[in-house]
Amino acid sequence: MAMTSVSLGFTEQTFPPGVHICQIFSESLEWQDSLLRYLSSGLKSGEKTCCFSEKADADLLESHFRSEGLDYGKALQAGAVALARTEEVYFERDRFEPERMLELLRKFYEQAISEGYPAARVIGEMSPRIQSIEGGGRLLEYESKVSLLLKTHPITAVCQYDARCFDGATILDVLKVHPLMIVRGAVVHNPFFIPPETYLAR
Amino acid sequence: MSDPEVLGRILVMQSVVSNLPDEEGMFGFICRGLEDVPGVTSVSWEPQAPAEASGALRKPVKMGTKEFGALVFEIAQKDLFCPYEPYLDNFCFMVAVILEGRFQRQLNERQTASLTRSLAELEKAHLKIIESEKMAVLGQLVATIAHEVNTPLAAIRSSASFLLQDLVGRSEAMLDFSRSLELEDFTWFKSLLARKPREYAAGAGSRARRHRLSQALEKAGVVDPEAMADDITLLADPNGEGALVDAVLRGKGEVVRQAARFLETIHASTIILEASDRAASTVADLVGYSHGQEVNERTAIDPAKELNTLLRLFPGLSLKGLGIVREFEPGLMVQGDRDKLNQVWINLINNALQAMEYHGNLILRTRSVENGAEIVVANDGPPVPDDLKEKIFQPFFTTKRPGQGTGLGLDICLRVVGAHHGTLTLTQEESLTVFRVFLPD
Repeated sequence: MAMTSVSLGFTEQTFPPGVHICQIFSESLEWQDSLLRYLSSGLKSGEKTCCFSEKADADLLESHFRSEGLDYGKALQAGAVALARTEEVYFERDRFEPERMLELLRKFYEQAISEGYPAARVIGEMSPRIQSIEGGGRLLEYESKVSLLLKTHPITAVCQYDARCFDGATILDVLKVHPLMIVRGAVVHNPFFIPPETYLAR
Repeated sequence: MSDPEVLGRILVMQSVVSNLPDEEGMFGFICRGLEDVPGVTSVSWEPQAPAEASGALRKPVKMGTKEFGALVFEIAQKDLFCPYEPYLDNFCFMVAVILEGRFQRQLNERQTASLTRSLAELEKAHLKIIESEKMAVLGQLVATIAHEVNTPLAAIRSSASFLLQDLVGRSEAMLDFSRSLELEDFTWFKSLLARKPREYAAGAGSRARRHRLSQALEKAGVVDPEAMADDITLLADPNGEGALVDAVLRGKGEVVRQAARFLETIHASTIILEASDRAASTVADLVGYSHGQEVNERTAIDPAKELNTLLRLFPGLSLKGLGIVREFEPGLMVQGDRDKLNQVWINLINNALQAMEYHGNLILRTRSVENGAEIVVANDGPPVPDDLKEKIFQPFFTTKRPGQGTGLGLDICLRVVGAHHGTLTLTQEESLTVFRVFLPD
């Protein structure tokens, strides 16, 4: 049975499934804290959970899950959790193709539902290589299309951006394509957000 | 865009800019974020005020007198922009506050890092000094031990080697020789053996004596007159050598020779004993030194009585030319560790006697002074040179001849007196070299 609200783990607020959140961070601890809490919260609520990161590894997840009373190995084997390197997933064949990524998200959601999961969540840390890789200029288009996709395939999604690796103008542009953002640990509505229908029509 | 939207954006920007790592990133974000403020065409950041004023609206990012550049707004419709101007002024001030906080934090971090580095360097230098001092003391210690132990060991080795050869080769011959003597000669031989062996004296006078004896014996036809002269010198002083020369001339040279060999053996044994004692004493000094000079049980001590008793331990005090002056305050008592303090008095008296070479006056004085008692050991021998006045208190420093001291005596005195919370000072008072010990009540 589909869930009506989800907990993100790093805030007491709850949200309907399918929210698209942006986190701008500048400290590794801040990044790690949100990531781990978000993943374990997903597992605890029985959601199919996926993580794309260059920095997180199995050891980090395993030790955190153990401290939360969760069995990482078992969850991995059951397909309840997946961990992959951002660049392997996002930059397959050394280029960024939004359509392929959107298809991947769509299938992830459909598979989760077909496997009986009540919801699905993804957390991905964007690699700074997006700024130089072929197709990287379509990042904002992709993020905007993710917002559209989530309306029909309500994956709860958190996009992490390291402020130390992107220039200020890009960070603001990234905010424009995320309806929600994390400010000092709280999820707030993003006043810079431009609805995808408007943004993509530009 | 509505007012709440603009205000919301400004609020969010305030939160996000504090997350951005540098000024360039911050202002890139801010300029992009403010582009959509009604009436604005573009926004840029000027780190420094331009030389010439432009037509654009310049909003300084300023806190007090400190300015972090300015946001420059190109305005297309001033009437649309005007309502937001006060909010943007406040926003610029908040950005300045963030930048100043960041500047102060970086300053603190730099200062902390610099202090940490300085501390680490100081610690390193400190350890190096300690290490080098340790090595210096160790070097002195090794040199002292090596010298003090090697010298007697060399004497022991040489004497033992002589004894071994002599005993193996001569014991049988000595017995045969004794048996061959007439009763009268045997009695005389025994009396010679009972003599205390004299050392072969060095120096020009002694060489002249042996040379004179050797010439006389040669003239009288004695075989190997030089060896016989050595034997006679060993057995008798100049006053007694005539009787031995007569005996040799009467054909009793072999008795003299055998007696001299025997006394040489005894002499070698004595050297071994003395050298062993000296090595043992050095080791005992070092062991005692390393055990520290903590004060054990404190008792009431009469320093005059102790000094008088200790003086008896020193041989040679009755020598002509040496005077002992005692100036003791009757009834004066001090509190302390008797054994440790006696070690101090012994060291000070011994130093004084050696410094004055047992010639002149040794002055011992005890008296009450404010808050305690004073014990003085002084001598009118040669003064301690100014450049050595501090050094003589350092461990392993000595002005004595090799074998006469480890250089630990005064350091031990300092440590014992210090453990009694007292002081030990050296002063030159006219012709007197004065070591003054103060012991508090």
